Amino acid sequence: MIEVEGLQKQFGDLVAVRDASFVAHPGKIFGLLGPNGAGKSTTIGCISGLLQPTAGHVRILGHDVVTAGQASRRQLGVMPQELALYEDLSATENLSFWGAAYGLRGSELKSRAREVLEFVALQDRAVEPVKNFSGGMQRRLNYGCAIMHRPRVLLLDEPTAGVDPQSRMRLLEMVKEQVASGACVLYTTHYMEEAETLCDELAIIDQGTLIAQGDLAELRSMVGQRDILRLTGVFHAERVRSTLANFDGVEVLQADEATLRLEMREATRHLAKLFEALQSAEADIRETTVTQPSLESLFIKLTGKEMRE
Amino acid sequence: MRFFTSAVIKDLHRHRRDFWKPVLWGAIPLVVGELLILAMGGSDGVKPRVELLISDEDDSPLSGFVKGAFSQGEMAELFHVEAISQDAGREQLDQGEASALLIIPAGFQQAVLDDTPCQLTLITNPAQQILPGIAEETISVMVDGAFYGHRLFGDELREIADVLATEEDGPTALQIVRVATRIGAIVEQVNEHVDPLSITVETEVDVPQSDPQGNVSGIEADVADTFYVFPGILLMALVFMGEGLSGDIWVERRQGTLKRVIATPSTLHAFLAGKLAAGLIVIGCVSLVLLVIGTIYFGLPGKNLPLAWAWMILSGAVLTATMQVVQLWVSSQRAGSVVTNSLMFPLMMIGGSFFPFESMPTWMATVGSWTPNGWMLVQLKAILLSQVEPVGLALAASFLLAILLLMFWGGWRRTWSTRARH
Repeated sequence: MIEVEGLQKQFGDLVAVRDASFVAHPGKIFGLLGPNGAGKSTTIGCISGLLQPTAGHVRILGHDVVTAGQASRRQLGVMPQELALYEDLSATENLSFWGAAYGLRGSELKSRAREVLEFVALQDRAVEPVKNFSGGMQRRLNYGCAIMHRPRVLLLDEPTAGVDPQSRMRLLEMVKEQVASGACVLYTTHYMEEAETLCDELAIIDQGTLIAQGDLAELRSMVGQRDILRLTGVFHAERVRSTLANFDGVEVLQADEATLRLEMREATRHLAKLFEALQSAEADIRETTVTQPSLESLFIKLTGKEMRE
Repeated sequence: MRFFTSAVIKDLHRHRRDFWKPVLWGAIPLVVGELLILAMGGSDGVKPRVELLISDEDDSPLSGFVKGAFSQGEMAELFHVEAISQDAGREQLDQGEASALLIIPAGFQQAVLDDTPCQLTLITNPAQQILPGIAEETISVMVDGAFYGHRLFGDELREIADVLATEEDGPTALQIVRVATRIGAIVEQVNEHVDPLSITVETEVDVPQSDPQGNVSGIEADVADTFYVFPGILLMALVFMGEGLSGDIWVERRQGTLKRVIATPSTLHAFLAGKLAAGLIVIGCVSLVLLVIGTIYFGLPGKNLPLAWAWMILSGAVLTATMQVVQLWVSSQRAGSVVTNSLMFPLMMIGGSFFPFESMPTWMATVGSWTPNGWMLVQLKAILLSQVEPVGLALAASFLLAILLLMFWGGWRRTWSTRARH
């Protein structure tokens, strides 16, 4: 179990994480969702002991990461966002070194390395230098190094970033297997779909602040059944706002000279009427995107911007 | 301790995969050293000789003796003598083809026997500085010898001169025996004072620490000329290895493995110590190969090789740890490389690696011997020449060990405080 309570991390004047609190439970995947630079990796850094929190507490299975750092780190498996592997060593040598770093020795270390190699489907490339591996293979090995000591808590920082679909599927399967064995997983990603399909509980973070959290059903209920409609073109913001004020069931999330973001029920059914109204407000519409109710639309609703902006 | 061992094994595997790097660390200084030795005349090249022209205008037995003296024994290795007329000699000298022209004037023998003033003329080649000086010193010693010889055997010499001047057939056997007997008696008297010598000179060699010239005066006769250069090559290899090994901390940082280690329950100091120990094994292997090459090809005295090897490993450790601290204080791998390189090359130049202290002006050799690598080099030479006292060596090694610990602590502190940096 990971307990984060009032976590704050500052770098000089910059507050990277502000008053974050959440709990990740055993046998479940807790997703930390947010765009790049939102504070996900800083949060992971504070949990893994790499960064010292400015305020607040983090406990791993009851061990405080600051006051009982070694005990807490012993329970943790960390898969960093970047590939933290020795490129000039083989897969076996990498697994052996990282296993040893977590206290595995002798025959236990050897047998576990063989087991993990099979688990990440790299047994055929066991003695080859890692620099010869594809990106997907390196990611799998990176994951393998994190689970060598059978950790009860696993931190996975953007594990599928830049990975081909096949390796991504394999990685997600491996994570699910780990959870099925009772591990608690904290999973950060900026892929909404991945978070929706994989995570049992979620927290959305933006600019260092947790803006929403709960299980998938709870978060979806925050969006309701409303679509997000994104229009680009040339707009007179004030005129558009006053026109749409009379349009039933439409909420304006964003209106500026180039972009218009609206929230409404069954947007596709009302498009014709909406376009007519906007034309009367002298809008020149060039592109239209409708987003069904999802975490993406929740994020847009909460922050007024898209996840990848 | 167990993780320390794993860290050592891990880095040894990495060094083994990158085999050519340690090879280059040893090979480049060897190539540089070989070039230096060639530039200095080579280990078995022709030694410079004094090209001495002698214009003998006396043509007497004594002037013939003077000419012959330059062609006897060790003098023959230093001088190449050519008899020549004065004009031809001056011409050759003008063309820069000789070191000096010695003119023995007519009446030289008679003047020596009569103990009357006489002048030998030595004309030197201004384009050469050292070789004409050698000729001048040698002739001056000979003149002194003639003076003291005259003080001892003046009467006998005068008698020989009279006989030579009056008797057409030269001295008779009786005259020769009489003079020889008197000379024998004088030699016997003198022997009381000179055999054994009443006054002796005992030469002591300065301990290396206080010798900025790097023990030149203490070098044994059987030490090859290349010895002056080779210890500098060894230090150059240590500096190269220190620079190369210290840069590895940036590789760990760049590939994210340093951060990952910090997120494990193992300690950072065990990881860094393992890294240093693996580096020491590499330094030990390269140093051993270089010492063996030095013994076989560069005339390195083989007496204290194990001690020299240990000194090299300790020095290499200090250089590595120090350069690692320097690398950690800058903001990027590139900056680290620039800083260490800009320190490394001037230190090697002044610290006796490129140019031996023996060939430097005294002030520069003094400064150089107090640079870290220069000081290590002076100690290494002293060890190789068995000129170091056990207590002095123990103190020097303790000093290095203290610096090593200090640098290791500094590196650990800096790594820890910048652990989250990419």
